[in-house]
Amino acid sequence: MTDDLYRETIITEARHPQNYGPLEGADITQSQVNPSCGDSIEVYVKLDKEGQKIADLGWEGKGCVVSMASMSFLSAKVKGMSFVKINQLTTDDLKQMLGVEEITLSREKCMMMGLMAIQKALRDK
Amino acid sequence: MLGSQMLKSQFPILSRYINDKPLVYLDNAATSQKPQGVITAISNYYTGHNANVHRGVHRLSDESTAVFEESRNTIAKFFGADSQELIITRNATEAINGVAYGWADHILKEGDVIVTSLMEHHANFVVWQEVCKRTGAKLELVGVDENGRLRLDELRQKLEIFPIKLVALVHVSNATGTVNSVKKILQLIKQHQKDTPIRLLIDGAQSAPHMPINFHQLGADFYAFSGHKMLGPMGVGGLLVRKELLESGEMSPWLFGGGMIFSVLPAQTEFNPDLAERFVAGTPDVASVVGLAAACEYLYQLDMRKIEQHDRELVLYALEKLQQIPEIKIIGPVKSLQTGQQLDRLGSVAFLHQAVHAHDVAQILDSEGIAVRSGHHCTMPLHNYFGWQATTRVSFQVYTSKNDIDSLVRGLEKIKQVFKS
Ligand SMILES: Cc1ncc(COP(=O)(O)O)c(C=O)c1O
Repeated sequence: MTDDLYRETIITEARHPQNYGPLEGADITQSQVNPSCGDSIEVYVKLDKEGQKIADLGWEGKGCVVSMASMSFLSAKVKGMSFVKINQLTTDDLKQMLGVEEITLSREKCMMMGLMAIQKALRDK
Repeated sequence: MLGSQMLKSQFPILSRYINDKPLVYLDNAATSQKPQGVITAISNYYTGHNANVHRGVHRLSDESTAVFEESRNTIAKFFGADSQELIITRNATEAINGVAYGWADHILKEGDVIVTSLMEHHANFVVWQEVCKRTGAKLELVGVDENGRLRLDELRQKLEIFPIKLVALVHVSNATGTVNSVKKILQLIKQHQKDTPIRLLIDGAQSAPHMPINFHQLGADFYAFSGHKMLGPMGVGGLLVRKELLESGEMSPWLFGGGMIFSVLPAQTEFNPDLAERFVAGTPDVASVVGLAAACEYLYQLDMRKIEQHDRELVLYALEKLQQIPEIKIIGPVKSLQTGQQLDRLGSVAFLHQAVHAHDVAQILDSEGIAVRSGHHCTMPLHNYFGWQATTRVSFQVYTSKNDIDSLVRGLEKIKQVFKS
């Protein structure tokens, strides 16, 4: 499972993350921490005119390869996506994005941190 | 010999393979593995003697009570304490909570001050924040220097200024491995104590497994420990309390019910005058107490002085090897305060990897069969103070060998390959 998790694509994604940095004029900012390790992610979300979709998204964070790569892939995927769809995203979707088949319970938390932040942002908007 | 194959073979779990590699277990500060003797003692209790204690007149109950009392005696003796001074708890956390509920809640008044430090485990930190909420007492924190040593000068200042009733400090840090000098802390307390006594609680969760502890010589009023970190089972630990505090009622029971009473009348209840029984509310975890006694016996046979010596050698060896890796920065003391003095560090070595997050370090080491801890190790105040996101910690036990540390160093090489850093 480790070899799966530490493929070059994932490491590269974490080192050169997409949509990294704060977003000017964001409608919502939301942060999420993983209390078991202290890692954190902050997301900046711009809504579309109807307020039903994510128009744009930026993020910043401190964390391991898994949390950073997962958030990076996710940030590209959710742009233009409806809230309904985003709320339906699951662990399996994220595993697919990362291209891993299995993940341990502790690392699942790392993988899910970004999605939790986005879903929380949409709930609290 | 400590760390030898022979000794390792007494711990069944250490023969496991992880990811097709022999397990190298370096997460002993989180919990230690158990020797066959401890496992067998627990199993024998349930197989041969199980019955409730202090309750029946039948044979099994009598046997169970005898085994329970003997085990309590063994554990207390291991710590150089009287059996009456030992309150069995689930772990160190519950022991510290016991001081909060059984001592602080009825002793502390608004405006009194509790002193703890930045280097504490959450168990010796959050408890006092909560006591302050309940009693109106104030919490003062002693800082640490750049090497993670307790600032004794700050402790002195606080003792000069504030009306302190309790000083609660860790003996050996689970994050930096720093050993605090209880002797120096006590000296400062004695110098500044006026009419009202200042009580000292020592969190011994990480000292009990690595150095000889004699509660009477130590001089603290309270000493908390966890059985599972010293080769005993999970679910049992203890609080040692100086007898005087028990006899005077300054330390009073905080859990109520059967067993701890003398007489119960509709209008009032009298607690058990037997100090050893006054703090046993409800049915205790007898099997775990028996297991912990077996662990104490085992450690006693190995000799805690030799264990400390072994641990010091491992710390020095790990420091030497890890300092040769350029990406790695050790946290905590690496040099003794004065030349010729021994390094005030025990049990563990934690570090930061400049290029790779601690979780990733731990995960890649796991693929090599090496178990280490990554994160903040329940010391968030310390990690925040230094701005450490997360650290990787390797920690030792009697079965740890220098070979294990060599395996670790080879595992760290693999990180370089994976991350090409
Ligand atoms: C210094 C210190 N204090 C307290 C504790 C809490 O121990 P337990 O979880 O067994 O109650 C630990 C455990 O990691 C520790 O290292």
